[in-house]
Amino acid sequence: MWSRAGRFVKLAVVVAVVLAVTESALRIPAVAAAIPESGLYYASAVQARIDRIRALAADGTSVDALFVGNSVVATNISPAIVDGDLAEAGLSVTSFDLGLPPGLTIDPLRVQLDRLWLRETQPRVVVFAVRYVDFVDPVAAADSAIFTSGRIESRWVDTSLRSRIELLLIDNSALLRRAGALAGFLTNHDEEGGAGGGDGGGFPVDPRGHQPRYGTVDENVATYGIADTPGGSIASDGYDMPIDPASYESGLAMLRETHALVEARGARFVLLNMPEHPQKFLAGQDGAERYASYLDALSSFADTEGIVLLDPSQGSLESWSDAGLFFDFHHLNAGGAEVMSHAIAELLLAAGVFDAGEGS
Amino acid sequence: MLFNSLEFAGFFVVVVVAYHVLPRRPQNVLLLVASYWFYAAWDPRFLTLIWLSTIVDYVCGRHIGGAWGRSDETSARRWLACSMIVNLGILGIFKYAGFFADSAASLAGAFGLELSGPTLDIVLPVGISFYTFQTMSYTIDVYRRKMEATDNLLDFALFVAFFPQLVAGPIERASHLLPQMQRDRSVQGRDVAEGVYLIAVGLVRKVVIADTAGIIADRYFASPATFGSVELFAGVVLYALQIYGDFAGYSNIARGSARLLGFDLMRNFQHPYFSRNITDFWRRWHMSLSTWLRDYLYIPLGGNQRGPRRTYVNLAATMLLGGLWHGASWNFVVWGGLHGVYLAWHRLRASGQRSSLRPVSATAATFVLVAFTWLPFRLESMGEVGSYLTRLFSFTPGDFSALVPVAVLVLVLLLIDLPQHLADDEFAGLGTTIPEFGVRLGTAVVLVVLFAGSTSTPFIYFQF
Repeated sequence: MWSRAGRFVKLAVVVAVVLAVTESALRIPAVAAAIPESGLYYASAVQARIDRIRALAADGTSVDALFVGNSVVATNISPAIVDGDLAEAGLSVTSFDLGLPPGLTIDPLRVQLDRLWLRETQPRVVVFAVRYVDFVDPVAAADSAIFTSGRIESRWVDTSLRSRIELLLIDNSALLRRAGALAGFLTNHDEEGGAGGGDGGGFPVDPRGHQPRYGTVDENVATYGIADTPGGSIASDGYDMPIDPASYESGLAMLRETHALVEARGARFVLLNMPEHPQKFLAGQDGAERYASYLDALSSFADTEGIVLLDPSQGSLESWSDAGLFFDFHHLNAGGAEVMSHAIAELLLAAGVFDAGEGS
Repeated sequence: MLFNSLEFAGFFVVVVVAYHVLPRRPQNVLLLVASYWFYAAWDPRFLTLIWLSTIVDYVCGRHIGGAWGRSDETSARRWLACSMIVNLGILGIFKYAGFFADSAASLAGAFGLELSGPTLDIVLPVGISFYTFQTMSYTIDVYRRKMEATDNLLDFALFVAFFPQLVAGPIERASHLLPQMQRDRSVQGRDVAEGVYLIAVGLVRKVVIADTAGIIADRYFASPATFGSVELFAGVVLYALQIYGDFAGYSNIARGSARLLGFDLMRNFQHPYFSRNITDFWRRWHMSLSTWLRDYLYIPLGGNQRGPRRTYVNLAATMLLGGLWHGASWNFVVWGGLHGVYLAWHRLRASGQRSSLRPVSATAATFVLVAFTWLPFRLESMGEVGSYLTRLFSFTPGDFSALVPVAVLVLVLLLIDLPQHLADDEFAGLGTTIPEFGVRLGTAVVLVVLFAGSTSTPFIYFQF
């Protein structure tokens, strides 16, 4: 049977037909839904948000505004509440929460925006949220390592020919985009939320990307092992570094690039300061002075770039000091998110961000 | 460079293409360079150990052969001893020194003595147990006059370092593999088909069965106290599937790769989980090691020729050392010792009697016994084994959905193994027509992609 070389051509053709049939089948919506893409990105929360954005699109809803940031954005902003407040003011806006764990800093978020979110959506407004620690280099370095652990993200940042070919193949093959999907189904079948249902930390993603967390800091100390310095020591988070406005420059440069990117895609760039509980600042040296220095840098940046800066803290470190609103000292709980979302909606209205050409 | 990685795929394609345009002598040079390159991808430092083994056994083999030419048995024995001392010395230093030092210190501590010395923290070279046993088989066989000593260092070096089976076997006999290094080889269409088939089956066993089972089983083994009896039972079965899929998968890929280069490597697994008793299991599991231990340890100890009592002692000793071959840990000794006890018990019970169990029941009983005996192999200490079993047999309620992945993976395993087993033909899956094989091969590719993780998972037996 195998004596002639032509037999192997026939074998290769049959294998190619099987692959082509599989590829075609995976492009049928019902099959694609049964075997969802998985394991492509550094965190399942990315895939979860892609799925929800596509679900909105399938319902004929386009996204007008993106709230971009790390897990603090995911927990602190409820697009449904923001949109509700805007609707009461006569503005029809659909916003979406793109808060991504675990604490991505500015540059990985910019890459995500460029390579993924601004291709999945065509928003009119991008609200980019930052915190003090997002400007601190050691944190940024650690986060970029997490970010590049993903199949897709690692190839975004690696510009070698091999990486580009692999990315091209993954981008254009329904089968390759589902690499590991069946293993993920079997290995996660008994986990709450299943593959892509949570953010890897077990917090479900709502249809608009919001990941509410519940309980207060006091209540969560035992459950989640929250200590005085959640997420690491003060030193590793950069809260006790010398106050030096020049040290913000690399972060601001990345923000500048992000602003240019967003504007080039036809969207308006809005900067949002995301307050934290003052405990983190106050546990380090010169907390109030550090916070003021950081806000000054943001304010100067906004003035220079000609963009709107939204500050729910209104310049005060102590304005978000009610521990009852916090899940831990970084993230608000669901009640705190409600308060924050109303505050952001109010700031958006006051700044007239959606005044021109609003509605969807 | 793992078999289940794109790096290996690229490396192998380059080697195969270059190999088939060269005549035999340059082919061997190419394979030797490729083999050293392959090994150096892990740690180039330990190439020196392979070179040492190669040179020592080549020289010893030549001297043993020369001694027999002069009918000088004393000299032959001395050169064999030299080979054994060097090989077992390398193995002892790199694999067992720390273990014996720690065990001696613990034993002394039990008697109230304190043994202090430098802490041995030696990195275990990949594949050392495999290639050491392989080269030892050469000098022993030359000493036993089962084969002639080779005078070609290149061929011998390739025999020691042949990359498809260098790091995890099969542990080849010199009398089987070395002659293949020395003659012209041809690759027929059937060889290509069987090679591709073996690689495809190996990848399915590794990527679909072993890696998936391993992810779930790891969760249960990491914190058994948080799971119920159902999950822990699932963990036992999943690990049995993992280690079989992992090792048999590696052996398949090794043999398939070698077949595409015109070499025939010995079969290492023959559906061991269909065994009807423990003796049958050891005829089907890691056959290259079990036959090595039989030929070079059990039989020299006297085998079954010195009465029943000595036979049981020989079985136990062989299996204890077989366990220790796997790793420098008392867990492996216990695992080997248990199998030695089972084998002796089966021999005692079964001599001249037929099993009272029906074939399916006997297969199931053997699987359960083997699966539970993997626990000391998998867990870090006997204390952990005790905790796991205590929790499992406390019959705490569990989540029956934990059996879903077990059922799916068993089904995949049966789809591969059962037709081969029933037909008593390893290549039954090739089918009778090209479209039939093509569909199966295409399905294997799709399955491997749909189960493959973002990174290649190392093979378990690399650590041995």
